[in-house]
Amino acid sequence: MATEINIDPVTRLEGHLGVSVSVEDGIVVDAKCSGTMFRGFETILIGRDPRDAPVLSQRICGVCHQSHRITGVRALENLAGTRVPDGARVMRNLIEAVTTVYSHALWFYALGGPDYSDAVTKNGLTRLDPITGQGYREAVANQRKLHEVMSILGAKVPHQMTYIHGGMTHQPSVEKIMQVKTRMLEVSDWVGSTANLPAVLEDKLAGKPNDYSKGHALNDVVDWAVYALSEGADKWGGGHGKYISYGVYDMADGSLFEPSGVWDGSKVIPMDEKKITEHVKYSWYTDDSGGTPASAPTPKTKHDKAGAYSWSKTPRYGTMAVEGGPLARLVIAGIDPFDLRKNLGGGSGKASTFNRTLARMQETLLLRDKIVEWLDELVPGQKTYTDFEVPEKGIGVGLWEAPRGPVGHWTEIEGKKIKRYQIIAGTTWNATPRDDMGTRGVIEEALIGVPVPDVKNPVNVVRTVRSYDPCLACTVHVMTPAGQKYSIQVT
Amino acid sequence: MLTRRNFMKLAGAVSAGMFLNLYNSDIVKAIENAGKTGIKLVWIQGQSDTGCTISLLQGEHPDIYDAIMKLNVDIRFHPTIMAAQGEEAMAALDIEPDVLVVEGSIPDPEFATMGERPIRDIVRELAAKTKVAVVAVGACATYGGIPAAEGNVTNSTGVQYLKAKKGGALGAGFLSGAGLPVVNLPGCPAHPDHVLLTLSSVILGVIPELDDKGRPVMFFSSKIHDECARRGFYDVGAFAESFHETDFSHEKCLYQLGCRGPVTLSDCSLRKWNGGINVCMNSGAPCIGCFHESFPDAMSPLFEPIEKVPTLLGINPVTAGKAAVAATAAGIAIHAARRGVAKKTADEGGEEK
Repeated sequence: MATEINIDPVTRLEGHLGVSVSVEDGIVVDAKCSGTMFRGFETILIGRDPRDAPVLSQRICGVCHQSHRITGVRALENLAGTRVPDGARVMRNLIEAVTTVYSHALWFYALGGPDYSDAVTKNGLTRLDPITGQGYREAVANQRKLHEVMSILGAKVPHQMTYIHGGMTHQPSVEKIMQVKTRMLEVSDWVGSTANLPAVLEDKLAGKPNDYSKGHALNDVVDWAVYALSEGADKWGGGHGKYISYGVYDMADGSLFEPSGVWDGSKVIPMDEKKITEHVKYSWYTDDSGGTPASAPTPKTKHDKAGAYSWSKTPRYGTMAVEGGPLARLVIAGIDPFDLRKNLGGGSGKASTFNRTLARMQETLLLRDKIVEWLDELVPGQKTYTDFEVPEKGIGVGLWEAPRGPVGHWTEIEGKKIKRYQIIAGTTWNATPRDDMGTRGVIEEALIGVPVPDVKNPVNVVRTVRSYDPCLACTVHVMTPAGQKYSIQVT
Repeated sequence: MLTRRNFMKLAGAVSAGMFLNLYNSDIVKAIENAGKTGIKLVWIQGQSDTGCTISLLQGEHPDIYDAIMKLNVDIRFHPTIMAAQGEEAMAALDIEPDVLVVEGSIPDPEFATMGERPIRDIVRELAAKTKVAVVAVGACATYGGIPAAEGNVTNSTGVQYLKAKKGGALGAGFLSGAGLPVVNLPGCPAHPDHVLLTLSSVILGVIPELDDKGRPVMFFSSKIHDECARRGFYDVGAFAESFHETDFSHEKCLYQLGCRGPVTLSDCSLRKWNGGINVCMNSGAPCIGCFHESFPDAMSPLFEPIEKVPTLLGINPVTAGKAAVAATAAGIAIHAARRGVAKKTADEGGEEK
């Protein structure tokens, strides 16, 4: 008989999450995830000035606020046919990149990383201990510098204010560029040069003591990687093994630095926004609340719906269950710095709890290096705004990537007012209930096969859930089927 | 050493904007002393986006981690930072907190749960047992915020207010064990200094003086407009007419683009954000009034000037709206006159400025 483990709330993530898994012979055989908070943003936006939507929808999330703001702005600019000046393009990329680096560092040191710390596993990695760990303390100081950078470019954090329909509200200056550069260089020193990574890894594998002069964060990442491999994190947490990315970072030539696409399990195919649909069979909405975001009605709640167990809808690409996030972006971009996922994780495109986390760290280094490069593209005093007028009517689509997955906003305007607004957030792709065909959600599927040698301490379950960096600005908990329940002790 | 009495005196005597910078180390010391008595703090998230927590984690005056480590405040529950989870985490709520912090608005039972229990029940139960103070943090917990805006499908409300009206999830008559109404720290997000200073003073048993909306007077006694770095541009009637001229270098006021600074109480302009680095208006972003008790409805549409937002003028005609609009009308007249003069000069062959 299966043992049921119920974890509600799962802490150390944005929002609340509960997970319920069935364990047989020390292996997870079933799992359910459900979002149980609903705010009704899509209803609240109806009838408002379309320019207000990016500002209000930004407040869906206190961590990926910039992603929602820019995506909302892009939906408006898409409809109006606006092309922002180059200065705005570069500033937007910088804000996105700094925010992503910040978010990934927050994950490593405060949210997901502690699952691999001495405090949790008695493995000697005390630098990763929450609050008291030296790495944690250093990270907080460096995250603050990144927040300062976000504030210089975005006016304040959380909820940066400088993205505007048509560009940015301010322009680059020598002073701002220097302020940003100084802080980025300080943070970079702490992280360590990307080029040092192979040497740090080699030393670690050779059993040499950590050389922090090569970078504090680099050493922590390598410590994590070696320990995670010893725990077998490359062997489980894979899930559906298919990926989606909307693409992010506009380049001057019109391309995207991390391109859009879908990985169907063997190759990258072009991503067509019209193939995105939302299923609601297992969600607390009326059956007609799903469909393609460009035409689906505003969801109507139905909390007594039979079989439903979530406030989250279930997005699908065609009929495919696909995951979003740093691993998806890097696989679709064909990037695997130093072949780390290939050599350590069993394949550059392979999904696992290990590779998902490693890709987050690879992307952090990649973007950190790009930030320094992109800063040099800014020209003091350059134009950052172009005229924008709210279109009379039509449907605008904004697609972008939050640190943790694809974000889409669809705004339908009539008489210069919002008639309908649809949002699919990054985590929505991952933390969903089953779809209409009964296929498990992305995190649900990833939990299948995760080893739980001790039902009283299912640490691999929470490692796998947190490997998606779930950002549920909603209370999410997981249903508990009948069976024995264990509370878990992860301290 | 900073005694309770001295602390209160300081809080009253020093301008709120300068307070933390001047007495940072004293506050830390005061917290350390208070911590020895073991203050039990519980932090609950309702319909929140965790933005207030993220904001607080970046606080510098004092640093939240220093505060936690040194003051030994016993944070029994905080979903974002605690190590425990699941039933163990829920069991931590089975206490009588000294301080209860609520982040996020409170909806009808089915729309927000934790540990399979409605957040509303959890908040009501904990509030009834809270010994010293219930502190509502952020626009949502204080006055309802965006979830309680027009279209409110979840019947969402703030902890003790719904917009400007007293009531909310705990009811108008709620008082903590120490006899205090809910302390409101609005803003989207709340300012980390407001949160840390309020919590540290509450921990000391010093309750900041509150205004008629439950806000500490020391942070919320003046309009954002009053100390705005662009105030001088306003006074001479130099108004930005589009986002082409909102960068500070253009030296224009953001009023015409929808700035809500003239109707919003907060010390943002002086205190600024993220370690005093920046604030919305300084980077060309008009204030959206996220500290206002009727944010966002009364502030919308956000990018239209105050006089084009009838609901805004209806809210507080005596102190805020009319005065600001009258002043601005004067400012605009000056602006028009200057433009006229400039135009004339240009016509006469001079250079238009």
